[in-house]
Amino acid sequence: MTQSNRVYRLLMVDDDELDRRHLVRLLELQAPGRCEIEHAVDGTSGLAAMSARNYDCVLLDYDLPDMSGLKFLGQAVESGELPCVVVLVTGHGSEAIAIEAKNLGAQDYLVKDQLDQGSLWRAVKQAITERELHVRLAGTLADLTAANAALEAEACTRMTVENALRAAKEVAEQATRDFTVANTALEEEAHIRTAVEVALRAAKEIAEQATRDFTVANAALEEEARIRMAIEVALRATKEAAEEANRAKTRFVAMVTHELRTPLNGILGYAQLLRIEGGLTDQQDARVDAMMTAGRHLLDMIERVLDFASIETGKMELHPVAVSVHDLAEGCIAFIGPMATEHTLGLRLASSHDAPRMIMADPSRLRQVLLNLLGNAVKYTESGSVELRMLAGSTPGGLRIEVIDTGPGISDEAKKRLFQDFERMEASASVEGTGLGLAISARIVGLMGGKIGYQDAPAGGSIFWLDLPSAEIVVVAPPEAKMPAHPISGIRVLLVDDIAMNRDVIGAFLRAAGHEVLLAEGGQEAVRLAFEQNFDLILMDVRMPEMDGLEATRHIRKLPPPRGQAPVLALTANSFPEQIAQCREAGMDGHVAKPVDYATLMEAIADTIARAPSCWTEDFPVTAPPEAVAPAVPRFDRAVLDQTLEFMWPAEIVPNLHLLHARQEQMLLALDERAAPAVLADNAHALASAAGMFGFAALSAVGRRFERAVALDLPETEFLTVQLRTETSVALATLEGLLREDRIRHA
Amino acid sequence: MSAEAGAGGVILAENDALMRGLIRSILSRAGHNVFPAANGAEAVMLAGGFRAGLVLLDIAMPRLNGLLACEAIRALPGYARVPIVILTGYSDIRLRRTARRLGADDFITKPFRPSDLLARLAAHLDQASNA
Repeated sequence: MTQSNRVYRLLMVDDDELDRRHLVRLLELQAPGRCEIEHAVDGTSGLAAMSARNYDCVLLDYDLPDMSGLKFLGQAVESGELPCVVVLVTGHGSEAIAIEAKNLGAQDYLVKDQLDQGSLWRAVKQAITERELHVRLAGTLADLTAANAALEAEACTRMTVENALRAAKEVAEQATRDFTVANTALEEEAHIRTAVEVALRAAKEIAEQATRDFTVANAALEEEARIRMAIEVALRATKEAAEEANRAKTRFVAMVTHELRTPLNGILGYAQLLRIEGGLTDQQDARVDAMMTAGRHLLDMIERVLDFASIETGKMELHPVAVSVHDLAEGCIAFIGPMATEHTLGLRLASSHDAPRMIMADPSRLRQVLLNLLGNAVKYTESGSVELRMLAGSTPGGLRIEVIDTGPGISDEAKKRLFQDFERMEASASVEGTGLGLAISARIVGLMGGKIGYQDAPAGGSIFWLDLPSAEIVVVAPPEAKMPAHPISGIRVLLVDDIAMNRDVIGAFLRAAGHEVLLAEGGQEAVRLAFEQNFDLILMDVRMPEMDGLEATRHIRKLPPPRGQAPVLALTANSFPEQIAQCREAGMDGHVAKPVDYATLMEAIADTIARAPSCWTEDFPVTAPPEAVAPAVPRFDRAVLDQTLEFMWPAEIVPNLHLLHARQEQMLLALDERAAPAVLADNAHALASAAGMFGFAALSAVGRRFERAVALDLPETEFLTVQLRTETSVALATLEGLLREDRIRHA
Repeated sequence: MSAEAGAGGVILAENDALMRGLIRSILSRAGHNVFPAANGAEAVMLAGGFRAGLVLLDIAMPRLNGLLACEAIRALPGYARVPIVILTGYSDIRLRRTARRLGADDFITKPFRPSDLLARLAAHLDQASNA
């Protein structure tokens, strides 16, 4: 290094010239020619020189005139002039100043008094060397730091690269794995695809086959449809022919049986006459008795065949009225009683407490079914007893009736055919019957909406049961006690019948009872006789050629009193409510069903004569009979009205009654205007429901029947029209009375 | 009246205004919430709008009779177990059978006793709520 020969540029900042010379001399002595020294006499000029030139070293006096050496150092540091070496030279020795000077950047500290030849130079040289070393070291350090930073950067880069590599590796590995999985999946898919393709091909084949099959089937179906159509046409033709034949057969059966009935009635009548007139020996009496029994049996069978025919042709209609279950049962027991006694069988009636007491049913048809079951039970039971049980039905308000016997029971084979037509028990050759009884019973029960069935009795024997649906009704009024009519005699009777035999038999009955009898062969003759003479009673056949009994009666009723008021008793072929109502509407006072039984006839006559005066004191037009059609149905039932009103909002009662009033007026208007059947039926339908709700039972019942009759154009429409008009008018008047009642008005 | 009477309400289809008003009065006084309809179609539309607790249908009605309405309502979602009661002036056994076949739960003939009607409806509502 050439440093040792280098000339140092020094700045000497000192206000004392002597001191400056001293220091210069010292340096010249120590290192001649090695220092180029400039001078500054105060701090300010020193600082200016420092900022103007670079010095290797500054020799600074502590005590300057304008500032202390320390302050100089501070300012030099502030102005950035202190990379150069400063040696503080001062006259006073003080450690505190030395430390502070060093802190401010002074390289060394010398005391003027202690300076010798070598120490100043050494201090200067050393300070400069230290400084240079320091600078060099700083450079090396910087280099090192840079190198280190470079290294770190490289390490960092390397790590980044490494990380990137690792990540890449992982990605690659993952990709490999994924690829494997994907490959597997692809393989799988390929398999599935193959399978699907196979399945599709199979499905396609199946579909194609199905299409082919379908085409074939379709053709077959079309062919079948054509065949079917042809068959249907043929069947319909055959069916129509068969139905027509069946209708013809049924008409024939009905006609024949009807024709059979008239002479048979005659035979029975004459037989009765023989006994009434008396004078027979015991043997003769017994023979007449047998004749009558056989005749009644024959009549019964004829009735059944007729029944069957009427069911077949749909002519059998039910005429439900309120029926006392107990009375009906007792009636049947009383009827069968003698037969049971004859077979030495016990006969019992049992009624469960929860069985309905009153039901809506056709009493004659229900009786017919019960008598058939009881009759069979008695016929087929050799010993033991027969019991009739009245029970609660399977539906609320329904009635179940059981007939239980201790007979032989019924074989399984026979059970299957029990309710079929013309089936009879094998073991019944000795028992008489048509084989129609159960078939008819089953159909009647079916018409009633009920069920009939058989089960084995637990103790052997049979149970025949009927289950009738909800038909229980509330007893609206206790039935009026019938006053027993006193037998009467010696009255004058006009007997009208077109059949001579009937005139003969009934005439004989009447004469036997001590009555005076005049005969008429037809309606016109009857009207003439009734006009000419007084009669206490007219017995009028209903079905007669030319003028029938109804028309004749209407004419008689127009005669002046008292002849026009003679009681008329109808002789009817059956006792359907319609027919009875028709008779009443025509002005008749009662009816007797044919075949005429002596006792029944006498009772009816007595009854009619007893009631006759009251019939005529009532102020009713003759076309409006005082009694309702079906006597069991009350015209107006206050209790029903009250109950309905009780369940309504009080404020809605009067408006609803006014609506009913309007509905009734509308009905009358429709009747008067002879509105179209559909309109009449609609009106009656709506009226029937509402009237029934408000207690107008008869109007409700007649409305229903009218609705049906007018819709089906039944023959009774005309009669029901009159009846409906009457019932509507009466109900209207009743309703108007109700609307005036305070209790209703202020409800 | 019965606790469940108000729940769901009763759809009442009856074309005759008098009977409809009367039945509505009886039902509402007994605590039922009544939704009246003047024909079968209206009843079906009502039933389609909400789930009634019970449906009461007359048979003879214009624009969808009660039996067809019964079948339609029975098929509505939520109506599989809702009691449907036929209330009619007709008592024909064939109508009863048809009504049952088309999903009706009961068949009541008019005229009826209000107490009977309410008791039958209450029984059906009971049964439906216990099921």
